[in-house]
Amino acid sequence: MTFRDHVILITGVTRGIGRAIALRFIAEGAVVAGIYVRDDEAAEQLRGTAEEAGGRIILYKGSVSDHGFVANVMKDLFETYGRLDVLVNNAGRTNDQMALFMEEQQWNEVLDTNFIGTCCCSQEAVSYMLRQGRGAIINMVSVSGIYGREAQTNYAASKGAIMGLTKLYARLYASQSIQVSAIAPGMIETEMAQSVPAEKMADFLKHTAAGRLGSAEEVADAVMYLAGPLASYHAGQTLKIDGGFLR
Amino acid sequence: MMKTAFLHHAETASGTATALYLLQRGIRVTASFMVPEQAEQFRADLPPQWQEQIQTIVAPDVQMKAVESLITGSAEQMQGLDLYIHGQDWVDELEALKHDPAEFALKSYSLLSELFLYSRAAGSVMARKQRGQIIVPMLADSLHYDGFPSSPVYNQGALAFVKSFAKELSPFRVSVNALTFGYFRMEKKAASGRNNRKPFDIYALKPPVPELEELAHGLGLLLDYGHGMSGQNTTWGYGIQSVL
Repeated sequence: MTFRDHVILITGVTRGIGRAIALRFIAEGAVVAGIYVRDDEAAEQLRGTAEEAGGRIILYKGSVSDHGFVANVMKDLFETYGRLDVLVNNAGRTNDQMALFMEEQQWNEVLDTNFIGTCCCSQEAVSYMLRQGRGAIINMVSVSGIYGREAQTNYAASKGAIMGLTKLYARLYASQSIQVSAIAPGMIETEMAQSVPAEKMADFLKHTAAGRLGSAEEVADAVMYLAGPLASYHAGQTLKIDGGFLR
Repeated sequence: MMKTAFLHHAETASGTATALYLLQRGIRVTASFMVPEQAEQFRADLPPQWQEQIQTIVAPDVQMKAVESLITGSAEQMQGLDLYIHGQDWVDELEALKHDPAEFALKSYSLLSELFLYSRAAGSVMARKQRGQIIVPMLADSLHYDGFPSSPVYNQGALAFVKSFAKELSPFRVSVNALTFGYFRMEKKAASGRNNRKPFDIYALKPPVPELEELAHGLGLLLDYGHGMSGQNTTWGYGIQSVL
């Protein structure tokens, strides 16, 4: 078990992809720390599932773009376990609207959570990883950040910026044994996908070689690869997990 | 045919080169600067034959209503807005990140917000007229190891914005494209002939290395043919990859 007793911090942990990643690391014997912002009920469900499986999980409630909160979480984790092996920046939100009708607030909210949140968490985590001389940061982006998507200028720009941040961090820290990568999931079977209109979904699948939605567990598999030793020469790249989506 | 253009961030070196190129092509230009001194200096340096062709404004504001008003007002004054170019200072993001990560995050955020607000305002004017082009120039990120300022966060975020916005404006026949410039001759690294070309062998063998002013001519590709393409990232330079 590659990740036995490793300490893994996952943001946006309570649902969808974040939840699947948490359970996958728990199955590997890791200690999982999760950040969530709102859904206490989902957090408790996750805790229950993890503990039933004999896993170790610690949950923190707060915003990833609150620098003070993020700093306290990392400090607490490091003081408790003495290590921080992997950070998965998974927290993200959408607020879709055509750009010509988009309000400033809609733009700001999405950039704030997705981009500033990733910056805050990465900045804090990397200081501990440098101290221990190793670590991995995995940023969850989206195919929207690669191909663009109508009504998602805010979301796409935030995810594109995170792909750029991934390159920047890799340039700075790859030579110090810190693996920084991104994953761009295509259409994954999560709550976010349920809001996609049927016609759009059909069109999306028509352009996907696999001909089906991906699962959160398949994205979690990719995280296992990028966070572990098999990806030791993988730096700054974005790995698409999209079933062969072409646009 | 392009007759009117709004150029944002004309105070930058690439912005100035762009402004001169647009003027050479006979385009009427509104050029925006961050502070009045920059606008005054630009005007003072401009040959007399172009003085009538350009309007300089100071546009430090990045509030939605103010930006809308600025772009709409400029379009009215020029009696049209065929082209919007979102110039940007080419920032060394790695140095900025090393120096102050929190400040770097906020600065990157504000640059992307500025792109959104200005492009949105220009796109709105163009959509009503059912014609126009928006161009977002950037400097190739791959030049990082060659001593150029490299901005992967801005470039990648801006490109994702360009691709998304292009999809939305296609019904209005407004095109939105990025133009990525390659290497050019930097003053501080001035060298001649072979020595000047050798560092770029990784891109193409002893490629020609243009002056910054010559780079701006790459815009001609989009000015002349850009109506037939949208959501693209065109690169200008020997051996520069079109995928970021």
